[in-house]
Order: sequence, then structure tokens, then C-alpha cells
Amino acid sequence: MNKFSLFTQVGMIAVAVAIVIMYIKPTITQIRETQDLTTSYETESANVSAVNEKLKVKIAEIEAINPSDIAALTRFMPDTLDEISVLKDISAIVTAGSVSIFEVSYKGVVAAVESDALNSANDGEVISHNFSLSFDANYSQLKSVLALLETNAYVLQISNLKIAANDKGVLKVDMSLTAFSRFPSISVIK
Amino acid sequence: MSESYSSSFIPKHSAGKKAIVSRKKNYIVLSIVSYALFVSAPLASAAVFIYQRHANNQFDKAVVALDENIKGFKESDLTRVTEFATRLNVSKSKLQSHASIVNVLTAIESATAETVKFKNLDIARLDDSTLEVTGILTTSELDGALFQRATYNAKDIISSPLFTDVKIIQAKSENDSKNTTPKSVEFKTSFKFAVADVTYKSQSVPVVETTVTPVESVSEVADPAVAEDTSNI
Repeated sequence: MNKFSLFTQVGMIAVAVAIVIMYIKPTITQIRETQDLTTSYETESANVSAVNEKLKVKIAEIEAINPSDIAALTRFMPDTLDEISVLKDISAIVTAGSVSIFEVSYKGVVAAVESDALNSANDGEVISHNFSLSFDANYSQLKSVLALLETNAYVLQISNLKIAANDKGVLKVDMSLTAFSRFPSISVIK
Repeated sequence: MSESYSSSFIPKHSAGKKAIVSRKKNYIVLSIVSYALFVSAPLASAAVFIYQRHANNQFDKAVVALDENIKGFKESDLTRVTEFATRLNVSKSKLQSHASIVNVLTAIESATAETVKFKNLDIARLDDSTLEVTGILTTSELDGALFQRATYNAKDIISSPLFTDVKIIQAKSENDSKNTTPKSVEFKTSFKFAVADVTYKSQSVPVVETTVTPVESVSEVADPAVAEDTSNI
């Protein structure tokens, strides 16, 4: 046996093993890491794509709604509420209910709700705007006014109603009304 | 002597021949293994190198695809959808808890006897699901009060009816000290309505056209992207 050949062969094996240890094994580890990253990127890409598709469908659904219905919804739950406009609306409603003498006033925003609203990031919250309305009427006029208040384009919730009858049968009516506006989004506050 | 040895018919043991054969065999195996390893290691390296490039290409494609999808995502669209959804949910919630006071009065009318009159009536909203009614009623006879109590107790729509402060009032007439005015019975009642039982339902009531809307212009919204989206609506 040729000793030189033996050393050569052992050297060849050593070189092969060195290639495996120093290049092939680390490279395979890198490939695995790359493949894991690729899988996670593909998953995220699929998620983003799914969100985009859902968003497109939702936008299409919103755009398919009649613009007048969307305007009615925006009016029903406005972003901001002009109390003078509401006072004018209540006055128009009471007058339409055949009541000529009345008193209507704005009582402000409920403090607790306002405080919560400013500290909260919940877009689902609403701000309550309180109004008071007083008038003298007979029973049918009262029911007419109440019915008209209920059919208003935005909610005028009667939170308290006091009716007292005098000797002549005239009803003295005092009520607290609440109108709502949507709590502004965080971007609007900032 | 040497001749006699070589010509001997007895086979001679050739010491070391087998060992040489086995060493040669081992040497051949070692040669095969070493050559195989020496050749396959670079080949495997080349294959791994190519596969790594392929994996890197796949990764680059995934990154590009994710970037494109992220670019395709419009935050303004999401804002528009979420604003619409919250507005719709809040409106739905308010509509579901919108009690009709007309329905409450109608229910009280149907449950109250003709002989009983309300002196006053308070309707208060306790929470989103309950209305409390308190009133002072008068009637000419005690039987009327008893009948009224039985009627309110029998009505399913009226819950927790309470009758308190029952008074029988019988004053003397000023003209004739012997005669007395008809007695009247006064009592306080309170009961509750579930808002679900008296929710507002669309009726054929003429709607008052209010000219001024409480909705402010969308241009006042601070976020221009939101303003742009809502203006499209």
C-alpha cells in the first residue's frame, strides 16, 4: 500500500468533511431560516390581501347604499350637534303640534358623559346633549307633540316627562329631552 | 534440503498472503469512500448554493408581494368602513332603546279605569331598558282604587305596580254644615315599563320638516383623509 495514497485519501475525506461542516451545514440552516421567513411573509401577505379584499367588499357595500339613506344615517347620529339648530327643530315640532306658548332651552352636555368621552378612546360612545321643554296643552296636543318628537330625523329621547293637570283640565308639561352626537374619533381630538 | 522442501507434496502454509488481500480490500473501500466524499461534497455544495439562491429568490418574491399588498391597503378606506360601522351600530343601539312615550300613554290609557283621574304623572327613564311611571290618581270611590289596583296588577306590560299614600278626603260643605261634599280617594301609584315593550315603531304621523340640520359640515373634520372619504358619501 502506498502511504502517500493513504494520506491523500484521508486528506480527501477531511476536505469533504470540512466542506460539509463549514459550508453545507450552515447554509442549510440559513436556508431553513429563509424558508421560515418566507412562510411567515407569505402568511402575512395572504392576511393583508384578505383584509384588502374584505375592505373592497365593504366599500362596495357602502357605495351600493342609497346616498339619501347614508345622509339620513349621518343625520340620525351626527358627528357634531349644533344646539341652536336642535332648539329650532324642537320649536318647529311643538308649533306643529298646535302648541303656541312654550319654553325650550339647552341644558348642556352631561358632565360625566363628556368627561368619560374625553378620556375614552371608544368610538362607540355618544355624547348626550340635554334640552328642556315646557308648555301648557291639552292631552291631544301633548300626544301630538310627543308623536312628532318621536318621528324626528334624529333621536330626541324623552328622559323625563312631568305632567300636572290644573282645575281647568290644562296640562302643564315639563320634559327633558336628550339628543345624541357620536363621540369624535381620536384623530379629531388630536 | 531446499529442493526436498519445494518438491514436497504437502501444501505449504503461505504466511501473510491473506492479510495482504484483506488490506488491499480495505484500501479499495477507503478509496471508494474518499473519492465518493471528495466528489460529492463539492457537488452537494453546488446544489446547496443553488437551492439557497432559489430560497432567497422565493423570499424576495414574498417580500415584494407583501409590500405590494401593504401598498394596496388604504387606511382611508378602513377609516371610512369603521366610521360607518360604528355610526350604524350606535344608531341601531339608540333606535332599539328608543321608547315611545305615546305608546306608554296609550298603555296607561288602556289600563286605567274611566272613573280614575290622574292629578299628575311623571315618566322617567331609569336606564336604557326601563321606564318608571309615577302618578297621583283620584277617584270618587274606594272601590275605584281597588279596581284600579287589580287592573294594573293584571296588565302584563306594567311591572311592579305599587300603590301607596292612599287618602280618603271628605270635606264639609261651607253652605250646609250637615252635608258633606262627595268623598274622594287619592292614591299614589308607581310602576315600570320595559323599553322593549314600548319601543318606537314607525307610525303614520306627519313628520315635521326641520330646515336646519344638526350635522356640521364634513369639512370641519380634522382628518383630511376622513373628510375626503365622508364627502364621497
